Amino acid sequence: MARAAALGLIIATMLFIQWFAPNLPGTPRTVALALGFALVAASLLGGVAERLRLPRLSGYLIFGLICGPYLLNLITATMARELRLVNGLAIALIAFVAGLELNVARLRPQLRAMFIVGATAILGMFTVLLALLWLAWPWLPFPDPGGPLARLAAAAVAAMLVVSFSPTVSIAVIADSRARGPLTELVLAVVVLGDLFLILMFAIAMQLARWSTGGASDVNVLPQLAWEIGGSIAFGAIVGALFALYLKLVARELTLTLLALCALLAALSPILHFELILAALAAGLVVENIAPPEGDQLKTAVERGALPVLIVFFAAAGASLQLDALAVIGWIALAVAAIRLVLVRSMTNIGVRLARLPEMPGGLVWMGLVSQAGVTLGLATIVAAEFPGWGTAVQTLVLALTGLHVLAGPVIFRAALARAGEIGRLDAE
Amino acid sequence: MRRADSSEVGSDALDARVPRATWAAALRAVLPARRAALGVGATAAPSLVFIGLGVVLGPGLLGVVSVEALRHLDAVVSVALAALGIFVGLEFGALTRAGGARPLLAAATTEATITIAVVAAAMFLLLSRWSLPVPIEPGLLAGILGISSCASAAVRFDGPVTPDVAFASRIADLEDVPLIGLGAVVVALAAGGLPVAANVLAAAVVGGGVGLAGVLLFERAESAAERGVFVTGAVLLLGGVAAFLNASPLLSGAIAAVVWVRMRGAADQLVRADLRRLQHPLVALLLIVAGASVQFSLAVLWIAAPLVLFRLTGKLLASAATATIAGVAPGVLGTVLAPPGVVGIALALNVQQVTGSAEVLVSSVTVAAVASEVLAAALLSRPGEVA
Repeated sequence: MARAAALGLIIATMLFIQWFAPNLPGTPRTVALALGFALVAASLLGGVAERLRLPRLSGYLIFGLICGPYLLNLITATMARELRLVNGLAIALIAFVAGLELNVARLRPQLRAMFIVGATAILGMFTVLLALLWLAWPWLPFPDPGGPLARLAAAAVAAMLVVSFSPTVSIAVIADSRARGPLTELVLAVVVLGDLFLILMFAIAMQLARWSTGGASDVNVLPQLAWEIGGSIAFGAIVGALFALYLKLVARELTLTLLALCALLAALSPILHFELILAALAAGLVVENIAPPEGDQLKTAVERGALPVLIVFFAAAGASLQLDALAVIGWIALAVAAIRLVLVRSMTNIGVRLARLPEMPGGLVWMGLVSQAGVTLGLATIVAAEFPGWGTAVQTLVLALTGLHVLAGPVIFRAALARAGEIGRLDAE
Repeated sequence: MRRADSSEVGSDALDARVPRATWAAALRAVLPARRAALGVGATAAPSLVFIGLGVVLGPGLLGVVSVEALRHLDAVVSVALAALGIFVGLEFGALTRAGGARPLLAAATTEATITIAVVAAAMFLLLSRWSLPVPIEPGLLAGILGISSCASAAVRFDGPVTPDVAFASRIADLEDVPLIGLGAVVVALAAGGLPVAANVLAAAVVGGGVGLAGVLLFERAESAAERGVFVTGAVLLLGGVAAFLNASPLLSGAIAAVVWVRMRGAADQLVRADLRRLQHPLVALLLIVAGASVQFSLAVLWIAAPLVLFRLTGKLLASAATATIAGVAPGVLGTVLAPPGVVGIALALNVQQVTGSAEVLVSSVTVAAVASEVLAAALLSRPGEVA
């Protein structure tokens, strides 16, 4: 009751100040306001979601959606853009936390199986979606790429985007649920390996699209990929090693240091053309596997540092959901989402059988691969920029799909973790 | 009038004391001035060091803190101002809850009013005659300079202090209350847009609303991490709303803090515990931003130089009058209240934010604060020696 009253007060405050907005000179400054409102209100809605046995981050997303520009507009489009300032920091933090969860010694016996599951799921989904999209292209509201080969290339790019899943959301659900166990480790490893795989395949698909449409091929694509992947891992490993040294020798103000480290990774990765998720993951892996910290200091620091960043990140994601994309391409997006859901389940289960994994948690792995978020949107933006015609149409489809999957994915994955009995086991250890 | 004893010299969050070893090692061999002037030992706020750092790092010299960076730091400054207001409000609220605050508040208000009146009147006369190229109307500028001048940094001492010194220290803490109140009015005047009353009222209402929300949330957080989120969110809201309305974050923060203190529960203690680690970084940040915002010019010199003299004069006159009423030694009061505080600089930064063009004001107030600090240390004896 007290929390509801507090939420009411905060919303009333936002409405109260917006009453003054027309009389304010110039452009109001809204960064701190957006952050403060998102932190408090989204956190409260996250608590409500938890009581309804949903992931807390669903509450953050729903907060963003309801208060965002398309509905209540308490968070305006400008404020939603400002909230996305923490995106880099959030992604780095989430990936770092994932790295901390991956103990190589424990995972080594299952690495081959994880690779088989991931490769089967991705390649299987891609093949079927490629065929479907190529066949259905003339009936879709997408401009003609020009010629069968160009259509194949465009379908390949679109299929790649539809297949891609969000390691960020899956890892965030695991962190939010304090989950630990075979399913958690399996999904973590699959999304991480899958992310690597998708980067490679996306680059190849884009090359094919450039070549087929008569555009200039990028001859440096292989060295670029090598730099992007290898360089990211090396860079992250160095940063992780330095942090591990700090933990051993100093171990003070860990929350601030951790946030500063993630901010550093987020700031430098685009400049150096590194893949932020890989770099941060590598940093976490090094800390966990080479110089594991003693005691609960790092765990406490992660909890204190991660929570506000996650809240703002997912609130921003909710506020940035393009509901008009759903209005434009809704039925098609629903159909594609349904097909994707069927494919992710069937292909993952095939992979599980090929890898000879046990029924539980093998049969639940697919539920961790439903989410789509920032990675997919980022790739779609690249496509739209390079191929303005059909690329923009594909981007609209991806926007709609992401909206559906970012809302449904965490709910489905959390249900899987609950069925596997892994929620809260991190605290029990 | 009841006089405070030494046991009542509380820990004002604004009296950000830096450990001696940190500064002494770095500065002892370099600057031969009295330790108080360097922010080492007795003086609470090492404004010289951080302002100097800001000047060196600022656009005028190294450019590490560039104009673009200062623009990006605007939101952080608003939040820092709100936090500063919270610190003032926590102390004020605690004092009113403890009882016996009215005489102290009356003395502080008297002292502040006289200081403001002397400085504002003198500066108005000068500004009207000189016609300096400043974007703020002379009357308003004089008012802002007067109000920012009344801030004092209390001196902290090791060991027992006399009752007069303890009383003076309390006055220094409470002076920030009328400063914040009047400061909110001048900020509203400088901002324009909304009517002054609406601007001030909106800031106050928001402070009260966020304060109430905090009372409902802080003690009901499910974990320390969640409580940290609520406290951080509340501070961000206070600073953010004030920034949105072009109002005073100092006022919003102070009112929220008073609500936390006066309402039943431990909200004030939880906020104090969570914000404690941010005290030094926030004050340091404000001073560095102020230093980086300093633009040396003839206008700044023409304003800062008389401001220092008028401030010292106003402080001594006000201390003499207040001491007579309160029955304490005037010399002690004047000495303790002479060093300038951070809240005056914070007010100038706030005015710069809402006008977007008050660099002369910030520069003058900052330079004057540094000069006042040196002057106070060089000319005035330590209160212990006086007593």
